Amino acid sequence: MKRLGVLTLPLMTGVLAAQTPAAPAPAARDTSRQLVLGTAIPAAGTLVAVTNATIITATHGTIDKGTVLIRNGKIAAVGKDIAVPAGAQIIDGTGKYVMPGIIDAHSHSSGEAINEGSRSVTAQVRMEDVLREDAIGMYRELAGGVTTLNILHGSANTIGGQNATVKIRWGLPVDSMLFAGAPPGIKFALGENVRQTNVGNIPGRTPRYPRTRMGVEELLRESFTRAREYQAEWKAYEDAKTLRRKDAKNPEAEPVPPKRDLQLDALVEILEGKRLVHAHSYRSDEILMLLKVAKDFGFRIASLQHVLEGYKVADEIAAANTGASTFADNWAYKLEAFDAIPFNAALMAERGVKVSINSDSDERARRLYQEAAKAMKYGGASEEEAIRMITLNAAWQLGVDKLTGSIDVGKDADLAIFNGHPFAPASRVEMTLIDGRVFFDRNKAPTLEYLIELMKRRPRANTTSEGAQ
Amino acid sequence: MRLTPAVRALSLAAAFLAPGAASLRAQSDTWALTNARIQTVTKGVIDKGTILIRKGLIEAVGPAVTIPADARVMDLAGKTVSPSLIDLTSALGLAAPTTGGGGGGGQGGGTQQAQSGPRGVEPERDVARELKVAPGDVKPIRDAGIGVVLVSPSRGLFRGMSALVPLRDSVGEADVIKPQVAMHIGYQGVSGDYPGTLLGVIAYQRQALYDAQRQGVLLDRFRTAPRGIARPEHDPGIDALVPVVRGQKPAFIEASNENEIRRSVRLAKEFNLKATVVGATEGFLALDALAGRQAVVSVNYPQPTATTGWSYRLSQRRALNDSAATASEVQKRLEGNAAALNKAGIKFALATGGTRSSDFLGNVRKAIAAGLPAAVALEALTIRPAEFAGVDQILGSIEAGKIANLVVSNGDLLADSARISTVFVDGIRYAVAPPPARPAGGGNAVAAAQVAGTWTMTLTSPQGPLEITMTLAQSGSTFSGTMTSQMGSMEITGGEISGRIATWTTILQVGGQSITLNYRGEVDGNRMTGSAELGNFGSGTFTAEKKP
Amino acid sequence: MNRLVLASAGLLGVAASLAAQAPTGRPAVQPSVFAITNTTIVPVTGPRVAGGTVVIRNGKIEAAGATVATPAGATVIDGTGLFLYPGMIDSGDRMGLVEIGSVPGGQDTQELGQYNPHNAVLSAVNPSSVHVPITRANGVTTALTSAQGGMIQGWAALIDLVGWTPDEMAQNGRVAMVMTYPSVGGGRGRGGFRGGQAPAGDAAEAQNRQVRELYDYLREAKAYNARTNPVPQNLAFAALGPALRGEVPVIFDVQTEGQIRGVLALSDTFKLKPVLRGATESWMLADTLAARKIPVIVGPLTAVPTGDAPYDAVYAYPGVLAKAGVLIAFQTDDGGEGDARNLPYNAALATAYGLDPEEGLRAVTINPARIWGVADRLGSIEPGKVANVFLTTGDPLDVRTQVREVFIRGQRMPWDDRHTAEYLKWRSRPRP
Repeated sequence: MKRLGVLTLPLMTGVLAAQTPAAPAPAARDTSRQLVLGTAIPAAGTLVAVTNATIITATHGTIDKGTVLIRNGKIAAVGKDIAVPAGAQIIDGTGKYVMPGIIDAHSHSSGEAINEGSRSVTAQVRMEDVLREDAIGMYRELAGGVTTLNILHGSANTIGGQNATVKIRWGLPVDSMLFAGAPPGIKFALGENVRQTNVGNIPGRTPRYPRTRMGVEELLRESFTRAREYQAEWKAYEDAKTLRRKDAKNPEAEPVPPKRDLQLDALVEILEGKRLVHAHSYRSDEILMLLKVAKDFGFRIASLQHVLEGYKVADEIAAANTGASTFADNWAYKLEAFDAIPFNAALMAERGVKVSINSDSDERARRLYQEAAKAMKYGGASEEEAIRMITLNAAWQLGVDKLTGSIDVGKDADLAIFNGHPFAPASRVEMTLIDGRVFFDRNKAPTLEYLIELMKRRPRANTTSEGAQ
Repeated sequence: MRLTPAVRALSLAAAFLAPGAASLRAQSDTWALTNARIQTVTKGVIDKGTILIRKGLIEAVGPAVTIPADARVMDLAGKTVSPSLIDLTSALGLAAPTTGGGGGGGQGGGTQQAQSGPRGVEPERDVARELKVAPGDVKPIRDAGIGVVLVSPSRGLFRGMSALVPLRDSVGEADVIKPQVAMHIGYQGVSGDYPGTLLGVIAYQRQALYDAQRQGVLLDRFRTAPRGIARPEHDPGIDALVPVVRGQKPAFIEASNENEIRRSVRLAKEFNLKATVVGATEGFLALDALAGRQAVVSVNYPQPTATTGWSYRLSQRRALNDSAATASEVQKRLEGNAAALNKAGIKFALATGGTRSSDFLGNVRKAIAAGLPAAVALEALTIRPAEFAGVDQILGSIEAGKIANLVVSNGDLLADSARISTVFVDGIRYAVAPPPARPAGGGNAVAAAQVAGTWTMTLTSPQGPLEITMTLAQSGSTFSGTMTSQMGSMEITGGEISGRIATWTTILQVGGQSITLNYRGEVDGNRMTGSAELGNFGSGTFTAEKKP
Repeated sequence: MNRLVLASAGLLGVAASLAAQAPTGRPAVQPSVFAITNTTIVPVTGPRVAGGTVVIRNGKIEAAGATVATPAGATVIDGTGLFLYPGMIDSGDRMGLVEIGSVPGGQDTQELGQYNPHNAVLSAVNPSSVHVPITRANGVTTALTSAQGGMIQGWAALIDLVGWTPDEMAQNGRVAMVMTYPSVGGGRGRGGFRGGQAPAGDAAEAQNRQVRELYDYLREAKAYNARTNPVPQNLAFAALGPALRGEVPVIFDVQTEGQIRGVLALSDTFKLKPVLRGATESWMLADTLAARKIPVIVGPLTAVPTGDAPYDAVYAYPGVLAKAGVLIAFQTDDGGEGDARNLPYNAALATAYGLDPEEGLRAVTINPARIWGVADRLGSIEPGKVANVFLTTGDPLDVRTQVREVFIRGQRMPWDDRHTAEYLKWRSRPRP
């Protein structure tokens, strides 16, 4: 197929090195990665300062002509009139707006598999097992100011799989992208996708239980009942070991540990509050159902995802200390999305729910800043609340709000630098930093503008029309 | 008691009424190969020496060996003798796919049936018991200088245990050099069931290995003091994994690209497996993960378009109209893989990994041209694979007492101009026909199957059956085209034909994401069968018919 | 919030009358004279007018300016601190043809077969579609709706988002013929995933074959249209008459440079008036398109670039085209997911990546009016034009802007769309 002429860009190695004086030598790495991925991995500089910028902190207002000082990847100081030590890498923020790096609480970028849908409960599968570091969707998100992703299992089954919280450290291998310190999570799903009613019966295959919303509830209760029994088995074993209870017939016998079941391990972690549940849900009735199941079994739902009817039961969600992660205004694509309204986020926030706005799409994730602004339009959320919907609230839902999600001293230096207010129409991301390292810089990125410049300088090979007569 | 090759040959002849029993006996003679340059691999080069073969073993080797009266003498003046090569990536003689011929050289077709046949979760599968080598399948491999292959199933997550098989014309279970060499592990899911996708595959593997750890404990207890405790469940699959999880049986994990390699190492670390990574074509991207481990490195270089980071690389091209230049740069890195591993001090063997036998040494020479020292390459083809398979006492070099597996070439085996004239397997001499004259431009000796035309395909995956119309155009050994179904239309990239095996890729755009789908089919006239990796959607199998 | 006050007043009014007697609904006779006073008028075709007044009478803009008097008896709307813009025009969606994406019963977006020039979507438009009120609530007053799939989809309809029947909604029920152009791999619409049937046979040859078929088809149609009173009639060929005579534009939904060049050659052969739509690679031919005065409908910008394009290719190409002098307008390609109301935010994304903001506003108002031949009555605030206008707190391209009033055909739109109504209802749920 005759395709567009190819793009040209100079090698970018060494450019950043020139800009980072006195930075310690980067850790040894295979240089062939640069060839294949085409990027120079920014050095882990010790001292960086973003100066003279409008800083949207998300927690304590906006600072005009402020400075963010970064040391060893963490925010060391933020405010006006910060003294910048000599030797720091300076990023001139004049005319720029700095906000906390955007956190997408619902992503499927970079997974080589998304849905292990062969069974209704697959809590044993883990997204971190199937990630790849070169998914171009992640790069585009980074270019849209996103620094942290909650990479979730899909919604093909009721209990899908364990999540992976990652930072988009573009160019590094997957293991280096995992967000150290992020608590583990897991994906649940309710509603139409799980019931497979939009897909219909596949010829030759037995339909998979459950087919109704009450069946979904039953499956959840069944699963956690099994988990409790498993938990009790292990407790009995631990107790037996501790007490060294001797077997009457076999005095030498050590108690046999129960069979370790990776699926039930994950469910027990939920019961013990060690694994955060992110539950895809739409209808108000199924939201209430899930909150009740969780209450009955003594655990908390960390976040409801999509939760498009959350506005109807916002009080119940708030009372359960559960977060809500929703779309700004996407609706009507399924029957369960038909009651969705763009006021959802603001309404829930009004009632005390910690709301985040997510993407569930590599496309939408590039422009979450535009989506968050819709919370101001629909329902009058304040600017700071709307900013929090793509930063601190999402961080809270993921259990990393002590580490990132706002521009506060001690947190990771995850920042998005815009050329205007993030909610203003003509604004775009100029730079994205993670742990104080510039992983995206528009001046060094392949842009259409740059491509056109190159093409002007070199004539392209002749392309003819397809099939002209 | 081990049957001598001569007696075994006779009993084989008797058991199977093989034709030419007399010639078998005639071939398993005592041989004296004289005046040869001998590349021993482990004890240096003997510029001019003699190798004495008796009863299938090397009786003596040296510059001055007394030649017994009953020895048939082969004057190898001007020739070089090396140990014959050992290929650890073969599917020779395993159950053929439902249509098309049996697996010949490298990986077989490996289609999976939903009801019968292996699904890919058979740790207890014992390849040695299944060998059915079709006549004529051995010769092309042996003509490439390979004398022994490690046969394992080519698909699945727990594929079974491999067998080390000599490449004699007639070979069956009794000839196996070593059964249950290793447990072979891979990353293909099960069609239509759990585990269907990579997610499930890895979780399943971990669960099975934990189960095996526990089973080992239970079996030990039961063995020492069976009275009064419940007997352990009999689960052949888990039982087969017990020695693996104890590090007593090696685990060969097929992992080619960077992420697969890292996953396999992670699994090995979690369960303390004695693991060897098999494939490792992107090992140069994961040197840190491979440090301290060993790898069987395939020289079946992947397409540059299939390498990690390619699609991003494409958006950062460095010169106009340079996709060819970019591809060749990546190609060089891929060919330099073994050299990079060598430089990083990682122990490795070289293997075909599905390369057509006649291309094998050529691909090895590419690795040498890219910086792998020839001596290291030769070790990686002989003594290293013998070590990895645990048979370095009896194979992998020319030393007295080892099996007489030799390859005779005019000059150094890895030189560009090398021509193999004779191969000895178990002391049996096999002549190698000179390769047919290559057409100008280095075309394929074996005509590639013809796939141009319109195919009606049925693809069966965890999502169920899907009817696809596939239209292809072919140019030599590459092809292009489209696949269309109710899901829409996708363009085919990287279409390649090697003999009867067609491989290609499509990209599915869904929900703002690109999912790479890889297909591999075996062509038999107007029919094709094969398998597909469907990214998030798991894996599947397909059959296709071409409209005449 | 004026809009919500109005809406809740409306609901309360209904409740009161329900309590008293049978429901009365809206009054049978709507006011027909409005004056929007003391507002900043943004005509688009002229400079802004601060503190101006716009008078609407009987569906048209009667007067607009700084010194316009408020007529007696007019319903007055105080525009102090607000801005009045022309209603926006979405140059591509499925308005009225789809309700819920997963429910096939409500979808009329794709007919079987490759060649359907005689299909006209207007009669299939559902005036009661929930998407109509929620779209106009953000100031998108007019939409160009058409079918997809196949080689020739048929007639597109330009509809205002008000009306009891499809005919009432129509500004022009046969505003353009819609087609695509063959490409290897079926590259129509976003990401090459939607598409017609597969080409059969050798891939490159298949594409050539499809092109030949298309040329043959159009030749036959041309010959048919040259005859007087042909018997038997061929409605499909007849439908192509206006396009072949250059009387109506032909929309080509294409993406790649190769397709675009093919469209140019086809248009030359058959003397068509092409309008490219989608056309994410059109920036490669910007100068050619400008010289030939071929308009391009850009968008949706809510689409990822193809794998090997720069990350901002889809955001930036409208700006490239506009700078080269191409007449551009935006489409959302909304298939019933609430994207049509986000038309101005497509333009906003483009202004962040090189498009001049004034051109961005023109590209959702006067530019599409010009392209679709309705510039005499839509696309700007000028006396004599249809009163499609909306009143805002600021720049419509700014997401944070609120819409206070929407007028279509001089009718003041009630705030009874589904989303506003549900918001008010659930906002009033008693707290625990």
